[in-house]
Amino acid sequence: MFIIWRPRGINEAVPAGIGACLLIIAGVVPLADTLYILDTISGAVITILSTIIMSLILDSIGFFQWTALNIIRWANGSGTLLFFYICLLCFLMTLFFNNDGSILITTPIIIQILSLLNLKMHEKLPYLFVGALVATASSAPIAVSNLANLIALKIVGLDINDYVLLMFVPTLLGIFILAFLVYLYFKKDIPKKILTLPPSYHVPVQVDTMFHYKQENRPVRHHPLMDVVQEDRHIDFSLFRLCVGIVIFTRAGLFLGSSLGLPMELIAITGAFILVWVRWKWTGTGVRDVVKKSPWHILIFAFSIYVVIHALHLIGFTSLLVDQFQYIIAQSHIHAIMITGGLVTVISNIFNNIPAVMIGTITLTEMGLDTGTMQLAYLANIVGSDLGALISPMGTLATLLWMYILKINKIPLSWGKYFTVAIYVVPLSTAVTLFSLYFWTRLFI
Amino acid sequence: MFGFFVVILVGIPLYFLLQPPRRAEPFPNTSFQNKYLLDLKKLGYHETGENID
Repeated sequence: MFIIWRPRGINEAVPAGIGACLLIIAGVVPLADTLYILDTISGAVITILSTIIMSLILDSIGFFQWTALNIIRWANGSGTLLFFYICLLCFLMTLFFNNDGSILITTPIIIQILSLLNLKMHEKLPYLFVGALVATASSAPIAVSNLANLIALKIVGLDINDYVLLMFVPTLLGIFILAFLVYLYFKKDIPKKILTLPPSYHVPVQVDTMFHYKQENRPVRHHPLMDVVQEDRHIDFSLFRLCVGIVIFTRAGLFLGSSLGLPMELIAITGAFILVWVRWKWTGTGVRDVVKKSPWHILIFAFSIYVVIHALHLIGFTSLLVDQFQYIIAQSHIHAIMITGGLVTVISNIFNNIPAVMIGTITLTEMGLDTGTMQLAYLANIVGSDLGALISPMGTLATLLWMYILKINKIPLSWGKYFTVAIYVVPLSTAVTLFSLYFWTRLFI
Repeated sequence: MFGFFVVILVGIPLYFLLQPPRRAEPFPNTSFQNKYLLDLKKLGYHETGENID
């Protein structure tokens, strides 16, 4: 409760850490078990931290600013195309970084783009909603984009390449359905025409030639994008290309390394180190900004959450779930997928998806299922926690972060409004994903 | 290896999409010395500032 409420804006690691300490002091979780917990979470945390460091480096060289400019360029005056490209941006950001990082990076970019385009409040909502929902849901296709998924993956012992083979297609379909439903919901609010950038925006231009204004009925305002464009001139594109290349190859290297038996965290940390080194050699910028901005506390957060879940497991909570659901889940693959996916969706929306996915995963490993059924149930567990959890803002930490960013940017959005949109789009896309997971995995399991 | 190919297949188009647009050819700088013109100084001619006419 304190993690979600965060009184006086305290870091979420503080209440989680206090809870974990109390459980260890009280003897609920034996001290010896903490070593096992640390071993389980450390690789996942190092991988996610390395990813965040890479995103910080890219941010410092103007990558996200440049991406924002390109989105406006590609949209070419069409509000619908802008919607499509924002979906693509959020999908790729989560694919190449992680879900919480994607929300933290893309939401300010989207807000900046929408402000530059002079959109009214009701016109901004479709883009903001689709950005948040797609960014969060996109942590499902490749496993390495979400801390909880990575920890759960280690518990189940599934290879990340097998994960992608089984999950990429069904979750991609689910994300597509999700985005399409958001589009249908907001169809009337999406402006047909928006501002465009002139083709030569990369060269110095006068303020009044910055935009070709296609909407005659709107007043032309000063565009802060002028500042963005001026800064864009300082982007060193040789460094830019090199850094983007390193990020792509590091991300791909996680899967290559997994095939060769190399630890994922080793590849992730090597990629982050190379990126820091390249920037230092190129620009002389040290590591101070990276050390200062990196969320080191996620190590404490992940450890503490796992201690709490482990305590629930030790006092018999997971055994209770095993007794209740083992029979029905073991019946068939479709039962395993739909029951687990549905159950984790409900638990995630009530308690948040991080504890939900861990409880779900530990419960599944206790059920004594055959390997195929257990892996399918685990994948459905991920669908429920990454996609199904989006029904309420409490479902994921990323959604809570998103609501917070909107609030500080003075974009009013009530939990009721969020729920109205989410209930229209999330359950259907989750159900489609779970069904397609069943049909797709029949080819392999 | 499936994950590796997925990331590469998504990453390569992304890499090229984010390239800067090609800049227009710079306008020829007329003050730049044209190497195909005769260098009168080397040939021993010097500008005097006087009107030849």
